[in-house]
Amino acid sequence: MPRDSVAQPPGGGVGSDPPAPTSTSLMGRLLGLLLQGMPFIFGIGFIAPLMTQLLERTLPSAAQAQWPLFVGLVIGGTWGAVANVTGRWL
Amino acid sequence: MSVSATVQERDLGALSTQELMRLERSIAEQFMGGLPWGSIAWAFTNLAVWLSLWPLTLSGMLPLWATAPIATLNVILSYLPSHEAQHRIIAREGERLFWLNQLVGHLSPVPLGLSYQAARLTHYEHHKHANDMELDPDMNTKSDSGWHMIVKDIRSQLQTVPKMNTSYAKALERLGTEEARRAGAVALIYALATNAVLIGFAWAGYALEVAALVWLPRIVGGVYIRFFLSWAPHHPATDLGRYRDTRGFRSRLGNILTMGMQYHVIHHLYPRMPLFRHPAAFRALRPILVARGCRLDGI
Repeated sequence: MPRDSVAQPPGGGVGSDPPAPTSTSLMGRLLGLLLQGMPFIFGIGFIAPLMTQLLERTLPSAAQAQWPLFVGLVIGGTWGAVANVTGRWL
Repeated sequence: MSVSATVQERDLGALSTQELMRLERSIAEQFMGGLPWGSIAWAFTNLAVWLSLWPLTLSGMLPLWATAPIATLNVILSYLPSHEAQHRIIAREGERLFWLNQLVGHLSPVPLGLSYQAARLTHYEHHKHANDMELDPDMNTKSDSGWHMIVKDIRSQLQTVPKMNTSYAKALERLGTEEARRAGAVALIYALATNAVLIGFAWAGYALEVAALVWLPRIVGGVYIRFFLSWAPHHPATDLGRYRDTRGFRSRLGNILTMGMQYHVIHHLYPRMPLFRHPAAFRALRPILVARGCRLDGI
C-alpha cells in the first residue's frame, strides 16, 4: 500500500521533506540544499500566508491592515526554522 | 456444478499440498480476467470530482467546510484504481488496452500526489517481502493496535522527513535499476511540485482554499489509507509466507468503507484478480484458506 508522495506517498504529509538525493553533481547538491531548507521554505511559503488569511477572515478589522502579514511571517518563519533544526513540526 | 461449489463438501484434510494448490488455483481462475470497468469508472469519476472542486472552491461557490471533506474522500478513493493498474489488472504490457491501464495508473492518484511508477515498484517490493522488517517498505504501519497505528502515523507525519518517505526511497535505492532511479526522481518532482502549487496559491491569496483542497485532505486521507490498506490487512504483521503475511478481517465499518480490504488476503494470493471480485473469491476459497492456516479474524 501507499503513502502519499516519495513517494509520501511514497511522501509524508504535504510540506514534508522528501529524502535528500545522494547525487554529488552540482544539480544534486543544489537540490539537496533546497530539500534541507524545505521546512523553512514551507513555513514562509505556505504557513505564513495561511496564518495571514486566517487572521483576516477571523478578524474583519484586520482585512486591510498590514499586521496580519507580519504576524503570519513571524509565525510561519519561526515555525519552519524550528522544524528545520529539530526535524519535527511539533 | 462449479469447483467452488463442491469444495464446501470435500474433506480438504485428505488432499495433498499439491492437490490443495491445484484446487485453489482452479477456483481462483474463475474470478480472474475481464476488464474491471468499475475501477476504471471509479478512477475517472473521482478525479473529475476532485478537479471540479478547484474552480468551485477558488471562486467561492463551494464553502471550505464542504470542500475539505469532499477532497478528503477524493484522496482516500484515489489510490485503489491505481493499485489495479500497478498490478496490470486492466491490461498487461503488449495488450491492446495497456494505454488505459497506464492512464488510470498515472491519473487516478493525482489527488493523493502519488507517483505511479514509484508506487508500483515499491508496492511490488511489499508483495515480495510482506511483513519483512527490513525489506517490506510498508512495515512502518506495524503497530500493536488500531489506535497505536493512528498515533504512530500522525507522529510520523509531524516529522519533516517522515519514516514512510525514507522507507520508500530506500526500497527504490535497493532496487538500483534505471527504472527505480527514474521513479525516485519523478516522485521527488511530484513532492516539489505539490509544495510549489501550495506556495503559489497561498501567496496568490488562496491559502485556506488549497489547504482545504490538498493539504488537509492528504494528511487525513493518508492516515485512512494507511490504516485500512496497510495496517489492518497485515496486522499483527508478524508472520511471513503466502498464507500468513495477510489476513481476512471483519470491520465494523463494513466492506465499502474499508474499500474491500476485509478480503485483502485474496489480493496477496492472486494479485491480478480485480478488487470487485475479492468478496466472491473469498467465499469460494474460504475452506481452503482455513485448511492452509490463514488468519481470518471474524470473517
